[in-house]
Amino acid sequence: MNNVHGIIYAYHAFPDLKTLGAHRTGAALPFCGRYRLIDFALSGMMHAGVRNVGVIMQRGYLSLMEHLAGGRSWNLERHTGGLHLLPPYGLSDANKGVYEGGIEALGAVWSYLSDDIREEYILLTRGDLCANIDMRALIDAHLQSGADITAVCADAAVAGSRHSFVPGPDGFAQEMLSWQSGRGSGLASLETYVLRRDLLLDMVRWSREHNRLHFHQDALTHAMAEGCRVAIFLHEGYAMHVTSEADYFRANMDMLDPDKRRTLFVPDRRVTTRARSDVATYYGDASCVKNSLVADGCRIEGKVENSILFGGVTVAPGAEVRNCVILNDTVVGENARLKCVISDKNVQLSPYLDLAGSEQLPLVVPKGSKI
Amino acid sequence: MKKECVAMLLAGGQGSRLYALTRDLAKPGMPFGGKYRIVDFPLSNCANSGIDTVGVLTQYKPLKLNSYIGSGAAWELDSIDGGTFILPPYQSSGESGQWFKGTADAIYQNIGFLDLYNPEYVLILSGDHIYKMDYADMLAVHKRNEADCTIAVIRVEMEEASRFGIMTLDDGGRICKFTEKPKEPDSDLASMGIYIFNWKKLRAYLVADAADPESDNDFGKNIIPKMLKAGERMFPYYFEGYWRDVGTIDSFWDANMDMLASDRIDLYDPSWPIRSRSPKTVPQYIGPDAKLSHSVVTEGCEVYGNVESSVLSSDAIVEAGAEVEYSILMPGARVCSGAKVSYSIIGENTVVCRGATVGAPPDGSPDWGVATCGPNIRIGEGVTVPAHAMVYESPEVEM
Repeated sequence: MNNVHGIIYAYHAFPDLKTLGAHRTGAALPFCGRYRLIDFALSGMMHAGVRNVGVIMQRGYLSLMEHLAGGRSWNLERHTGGLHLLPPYGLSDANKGVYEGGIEALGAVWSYLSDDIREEYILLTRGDLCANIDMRALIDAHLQSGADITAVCADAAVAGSRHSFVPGPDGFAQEMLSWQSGRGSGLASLETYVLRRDLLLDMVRWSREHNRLHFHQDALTHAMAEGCRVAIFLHEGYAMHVTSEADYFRANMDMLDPDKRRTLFVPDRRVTTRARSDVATYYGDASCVKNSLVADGCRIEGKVENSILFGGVTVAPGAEVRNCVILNDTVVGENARLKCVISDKNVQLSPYLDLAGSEQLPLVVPKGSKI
Repeated sequence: MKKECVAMLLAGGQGSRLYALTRDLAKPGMPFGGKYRIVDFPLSNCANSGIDTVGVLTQYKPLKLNSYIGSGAAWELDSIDGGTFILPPYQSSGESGQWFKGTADAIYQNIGFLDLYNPEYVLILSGDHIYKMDYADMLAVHKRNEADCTIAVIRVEMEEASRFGIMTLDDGGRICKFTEKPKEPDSDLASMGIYIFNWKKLRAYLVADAADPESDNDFGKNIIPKMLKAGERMFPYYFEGYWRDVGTIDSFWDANMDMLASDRIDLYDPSWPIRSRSPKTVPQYIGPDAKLSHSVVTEGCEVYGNVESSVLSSDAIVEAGAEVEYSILMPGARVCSGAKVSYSIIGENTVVCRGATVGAPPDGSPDWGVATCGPNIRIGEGVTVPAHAMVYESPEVEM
């Protein structure tokens, strides 16, 4: 049995996600036709043999809860343990509505951390991180290195990254830089850590005593100052923190690049999700589809280029969809023209409609709109 | 646990006329329509009809089918009180085990399973048809008629009738005659192989039939005629709608092609979902130079070449410069650059190498037919598999 307990931050959506994050946490953002971002964290843990996972949530978690259900899709449906949903339960005096930072969020589920977790180690990650990390290798590396904390960093620049670690000659982190101190030379942090539960409890306790709220700026900085040794585990392959509309658009578009797609959807670490049960997608006589990812259950009679279509989307005859991300069950009416549009779920777009955004500023159509 | 109605799905069929495709796979496990396997249809119909206990009788090459069905969760047939149960032939104490001799024998050998649930009614289904049917409605008709047995029937063309089991009715609408494949049919009512019996009654007939050394232990040949002879109350249940037997290469190909037409069977109807077990793969990717029309494609496929009027199952790949028309690619099949596949069925994980040709468009000759390549083989570079051929081993030389 695995001695690691997973904890996934899923308590907020970055403000720059705007309407995309209005009713859902970043972890619940639909991605690449059939996934949600939290699938990466959950699948990674599943492949590492982690059998207990807590998901810290606070606001807008309805769609996340529906997605997670009992956790069956990630082998987390267990008689005891498995998936632990952790909405705020008011045990923390710091619980004042919105968590300011990660360590505050951990403090809000203190009794769970201190009493319910049996495993010796904690694997902490973000639900809105878009990366397929080899978490088994990460855990092994941590156990072998003798480090107090192992931090996952990318070997290339990562969009949305807010922290970085500067490796020293011994391979351990010399310094942690934050985006506030300007772009440093360090390796971008994927905000994914393995550490002993005892150490995490100490960090949470210290933060509460000193009224500190942030994981990186406060708790981790303090721990490193106290002499904690932070090892670096390099993640090779695609990685992005989805923090804004433009990031969200780019991350989806990146999946049209086969090389990027292959490092995110790795065959021996398959990303699993709660699948809809859709029929196959039908391509009509006059359809013309180029360089696009299409989920099942769509009906395409028009033109689709450089786009991502989620399940159940209809593209009527004569419609043109270019460089778009079209979420589930959206209907694009006859002869409508869309360019650089993110259409949220269940949107009805009338015939002859002409909508255009740009790569830098995609036009987002909110969930359920009729235009 | 008392149940009103338990379904028994006969899934042991070998599908001998589909030979190349069913050498290692029972017919109900055959991939169908891009997203499905044949067994999805009766299992989904059960779930949609409120029948939560289904025994699946397997015999021929059952391993893949068993692992596909699993707990039945994909069809929401894994409820606390019911479930999906794989029932292979088994050995009883003091006897040597026996294969199922006929369809009725398969049920007879599982009397113990049915007795566990002691149902009022038993629904007998077969695993080789594509259709949507509300079994609850059929059961309601069965009860209203106070019938002992109800047989689902569909009207067929008179000239086709001699291929089916044909029902003849009396003036009161009761079945008075049943003939398997009559040379001169006197009715166009064909049996769909779907029966509802009062379990107590059927149980007695099964026990008697098992003791009859002359019997083939078959529903159509033995049980139904014996019940008719004894004057039991037997009624038809009229079915209208899409129903296809997929027992031959031609009918299997035809039914797949029906998936492309919107007016044959509506699989988009949210009130009657046909569910399947989804493979865990990424969405389908359509490449920059792909040409794709009048086709269905499913998750995990990658299309870079030309695809017309075809059905692509999960993880099928059509490389750039390959052409696929009027064909069915089973899961994981790959058509390489410069290969041409037309009017063909390409089995699971089979590779059609560069420059190979499989099948040909109809040329009006009487020998023409759909070409079939079995699973897990390699059609080598430049090899030609002619129309109507059926191959199940990698052809070494040009055919």
